[in-house]
Amino acid sequence: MNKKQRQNFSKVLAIIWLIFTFQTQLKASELGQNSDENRDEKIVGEEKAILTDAPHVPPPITRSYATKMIIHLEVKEVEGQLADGVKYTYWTFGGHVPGKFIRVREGDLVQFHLDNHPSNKMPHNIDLHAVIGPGGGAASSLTAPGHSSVFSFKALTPGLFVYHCATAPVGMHIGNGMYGLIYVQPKVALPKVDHEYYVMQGEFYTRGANGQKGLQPFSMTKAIDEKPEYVVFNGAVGALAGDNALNAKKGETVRLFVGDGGPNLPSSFHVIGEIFDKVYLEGGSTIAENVQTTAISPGGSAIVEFKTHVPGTFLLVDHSVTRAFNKGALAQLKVTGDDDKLVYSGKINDEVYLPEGSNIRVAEGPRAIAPMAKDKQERIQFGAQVFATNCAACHQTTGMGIPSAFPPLAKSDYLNADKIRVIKTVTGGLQGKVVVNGKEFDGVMPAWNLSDEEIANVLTYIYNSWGNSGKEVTPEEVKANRVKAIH
Amino acid sequence: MVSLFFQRAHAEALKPNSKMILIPAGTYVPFFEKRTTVAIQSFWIDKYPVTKKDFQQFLKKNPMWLKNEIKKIFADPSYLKNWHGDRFSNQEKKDSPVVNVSWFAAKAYCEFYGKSLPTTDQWEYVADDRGKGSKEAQQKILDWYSSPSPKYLSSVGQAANSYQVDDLYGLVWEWTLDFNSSVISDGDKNLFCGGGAQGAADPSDYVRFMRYSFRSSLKANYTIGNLGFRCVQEVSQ
Repeated sequence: MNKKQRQNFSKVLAIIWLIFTFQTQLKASELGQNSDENRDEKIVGEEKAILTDAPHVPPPITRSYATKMIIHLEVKEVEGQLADGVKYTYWTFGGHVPGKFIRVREGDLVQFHLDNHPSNKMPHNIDLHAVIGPGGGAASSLTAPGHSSVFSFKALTPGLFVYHCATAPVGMHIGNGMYGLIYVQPKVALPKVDHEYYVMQGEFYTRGANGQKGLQPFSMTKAIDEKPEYVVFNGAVGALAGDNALNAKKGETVRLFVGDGGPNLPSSFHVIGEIFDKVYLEGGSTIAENVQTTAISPGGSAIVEFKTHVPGTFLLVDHSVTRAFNKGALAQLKVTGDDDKLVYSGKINDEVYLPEGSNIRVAEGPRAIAPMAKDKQERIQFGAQVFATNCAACHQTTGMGIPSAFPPLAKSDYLNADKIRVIKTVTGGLQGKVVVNGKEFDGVMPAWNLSDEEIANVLTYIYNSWGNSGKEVTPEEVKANRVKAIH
Repeated sequence: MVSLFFQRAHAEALKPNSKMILIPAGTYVPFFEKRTTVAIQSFWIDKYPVTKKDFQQFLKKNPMWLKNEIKKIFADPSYLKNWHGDRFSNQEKKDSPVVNVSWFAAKAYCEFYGKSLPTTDQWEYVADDRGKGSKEAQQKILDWYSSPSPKYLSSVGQAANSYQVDDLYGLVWEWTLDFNSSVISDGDKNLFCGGGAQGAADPSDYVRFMRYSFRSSLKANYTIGNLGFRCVQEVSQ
């Protein structure tokens, strides 16, 4: 390259470099732009924040400007009911587990007062994941009983955030119920829905086993081993069940603000019988659609929305199933309204199912040559075998049958009244209503493809068991009265 | 003059309500910061936390520590809550620990009797109970820390450890001389979230964490309904 070419080449390089860094700077500033804007947003007036207990959520914020939100959150150590007969000393933000739901708007200035009730034993602080600053506020809020800490922060970022106590030993403070949700409503609010609810999962590590009654202390060992006795929604087994279930009418839209306080376990959040139309993943800004089960981390959240289509009771669960089944991770949403059989029909029919099929068919009997019985006693003996192989499955070894399904043979009026009819039943099969010993049966009995000898033997066995009439049936009688299988 | 003062203080110290136990010298590993073994000299420690009756005697001789007389910077407004002058409510047991006293008041009490507040190391050393902190004993202590404070405190004289020192847990938290230097981490003395375990000798010792957290939340003028104190004394040469 000569001198002129080198100079040109350098100029081109310089221009390319300038464009590159300019673009990168542009992108970097874009990332920070929203939070920078929010930082600088003008504050107009002030108001006292409305705080609610779960499962209720403060109403959507309708103002279009940022304001100063004043929040007083009181820490109270209270004894409560964890499960039937099981008491626990909860450490709470606002008197219940989970703690109060806090709702502010993107750009707000939040003045936060953490009040530690004088009757409490422990010091407490708070880490709100919505706060950008050391400890999420925890560095400025360690509060002794009978004192109050004040700090303020700007809500720079929208989203659904967990808050929790962060005083050592943290696993114990959180394990005793010190968590809740703070929602920084975005400037462009989410579309209106009919119901908004607040649900938060958490574990409890009790010294006694699940179900052991009495006041249960916290177990440090189980907490460190991550082996809880209880995994529950909203602080107790059944907190959202029965009279406390969530409610909606068919056709309404439901939004759940869901958090996982932990301290340790993630939640596989699912509503049985529903599908989430929308999930705001991780409580942030990305929307996933048509989701069955969403993963929520401890210290994390999700917003789920769905429209109801049919009435019924829909169970909210952690789909790690034994947590729902054995440890209490179960809540209810009751949807009222008329059925929509097209969407879900409910049970249409209950049929008898036989392994060979649902119509009368010929049942295969044992193919080996049946032994020839010499006398009635032998007939009974051989018949017992045939009975065990072919009849006992339905009529039972006791001859008692199954109520509403298979008629009894023991002291059966149907049986003892008419021997010929019985032979026809066994050889031809039977379908439709029969009354035996005063009870109605409406099932299916297959036709049996057994030899005259075998049928004679089994019927003799039946007539001589369980208090029946004691008759004998001969192969000749069977041959004379056989019928073809009914179709 | 000086020797007279010490004689009188010594006599005060020997009063029956300030029974003291001699703790032998030894070593222990502090919970935070210096994880190396620390040598502890022998010292005397009060067998019981200072009681309401004890503090009443002190107030009679030191009226500047009465609720109405105390300088505002030495105690917050909850100082001697529910006391009237030098009298406490007769619903309270006279042998229950005195609470709602600030560090300044506790220190003044100990010094009046020629003693002092224990250092955190001294207090923790006695509570360490020669390493007898078994998991079961820890669980018992956790139980107390987990249950809310009762309305009226019980009398002192329970739960003696192997040194025969009573009520180190199960009754009240206690002031130490250097409570505000118990936790350091980059000059930030707050224990929060997982970071609280950094530098701790044993992160599974939740019981000690709770005491360190409690001490970290205090300021010298604080008075709290479940915070009392006891005194120590040097072994005379």
